[in-house]
Amino acid sequence: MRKKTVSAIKWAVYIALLFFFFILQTTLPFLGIYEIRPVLAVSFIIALSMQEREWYAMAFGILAGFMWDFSSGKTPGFNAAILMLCCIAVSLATMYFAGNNFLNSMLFCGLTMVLQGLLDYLFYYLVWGYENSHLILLRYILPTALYTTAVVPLFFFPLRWLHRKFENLVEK
Amino acid sequence: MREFFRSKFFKAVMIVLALLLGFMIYAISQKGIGTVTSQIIGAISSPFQQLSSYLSETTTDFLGKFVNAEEYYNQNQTLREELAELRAELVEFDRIKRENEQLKELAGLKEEDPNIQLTAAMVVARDPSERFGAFTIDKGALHGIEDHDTVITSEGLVGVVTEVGEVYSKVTTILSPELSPIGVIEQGTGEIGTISGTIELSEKNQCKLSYLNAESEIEAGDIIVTSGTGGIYPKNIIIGIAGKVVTEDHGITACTTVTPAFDIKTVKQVFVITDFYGKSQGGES
Repeated sequence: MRKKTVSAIKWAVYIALLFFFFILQTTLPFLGIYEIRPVLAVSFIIALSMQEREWYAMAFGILAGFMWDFSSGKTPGFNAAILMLCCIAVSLATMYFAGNNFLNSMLFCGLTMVLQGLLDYLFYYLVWGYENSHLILLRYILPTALYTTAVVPLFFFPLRWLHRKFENLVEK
Repeated sequence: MREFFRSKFFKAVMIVLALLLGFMIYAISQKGIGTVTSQIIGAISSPFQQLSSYLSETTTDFLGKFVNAEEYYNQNQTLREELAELRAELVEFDRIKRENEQLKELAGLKEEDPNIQLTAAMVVARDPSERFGAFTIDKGALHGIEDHDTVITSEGLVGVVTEVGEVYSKVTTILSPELSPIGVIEQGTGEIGTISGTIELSEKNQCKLSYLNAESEIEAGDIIVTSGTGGIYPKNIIIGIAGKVVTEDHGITACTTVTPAFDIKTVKQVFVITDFYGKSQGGES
């Protein structure tokens, strides 16, 4: 199959999957453990960034970020900027420094979620001087980061398989 | 490394980052109105979220019958006892109601605001990173909803609309400290105060009632309702039940907790009050 055709199919499949997981993360209450739910879109794009080149990572970081901004009521662009930079870093790190394995996917996802959580805490709670704002960090932000990191392997293995399938299609 | 910083990719990242920053500044200036990205994502995701919410709710309800069977049995026993007590109270209630109606006629009071306009809406999305129960509903500007419209259930106040798209709206709940204090009144004593959310109390589905008189006569169990001042919230919307009043550390005023009659973080159906007598135009929450 032609490279451009495969690329177009790949984009369409990845966007559809991202959208599907975004819908799931905002509408399935039973995913929650003590009110903590995973941010599936982040787990998905981190696992994706490890398989794809930096341009893909950048685009999906922005898209997932805008989706998250929309659902969480954050200033549009806040999560988009953070996730874009993190996804690029993950993609480049996997290309040049780190191995493409599920342990690294969990490490990258954990670091992304902690960075996003700390910036969220800083700009949306700490600077406003809310009383007991540290509770947000301890009881919500860090557990959400942990839960999101824990589900990354569920995305990592299928996405690695999917990526290889697409590569094989190009060769044929 | 030097090559990377000189590459086209790095320059593209810097340009996109600058554009995102500019977009954020623009979005902040558009307070209360969904930005282009929000409108697009909202328009695409809203029907899917409605469908997913419906399926999720149906599945949860179905499985819940089996999972919570023992809990339902216990609830049933408790409710039977409560029902017996309520039947006894009903007789007394009928007598008081008749008396009350006569008094109302005498005082010439209207039972309810005839100008009040309600729009029913369904909760279609809740974000995992949201800590104060904020949610998205399936109605927006096309259904007559505006920024700062009050959101209620049949059991009381939920919050206020803080962002409006064409087919969706974002609701910030009264548990959130981001919401400005709401003027309230205690029905029995007529004492006034303000309700606001705090991080600590939001975990227990409670909010804080502040600025009460240091000699406050409010007792645990009293009903707190909106005072209607400010033109944002209509008068007499139930907020919840007051807890024990304690004097603040500075000793000038007192405060207490208020517990809504329902769990704000799990509401599924709400009503948006799009108009009422005394509503301010473009008011601030």
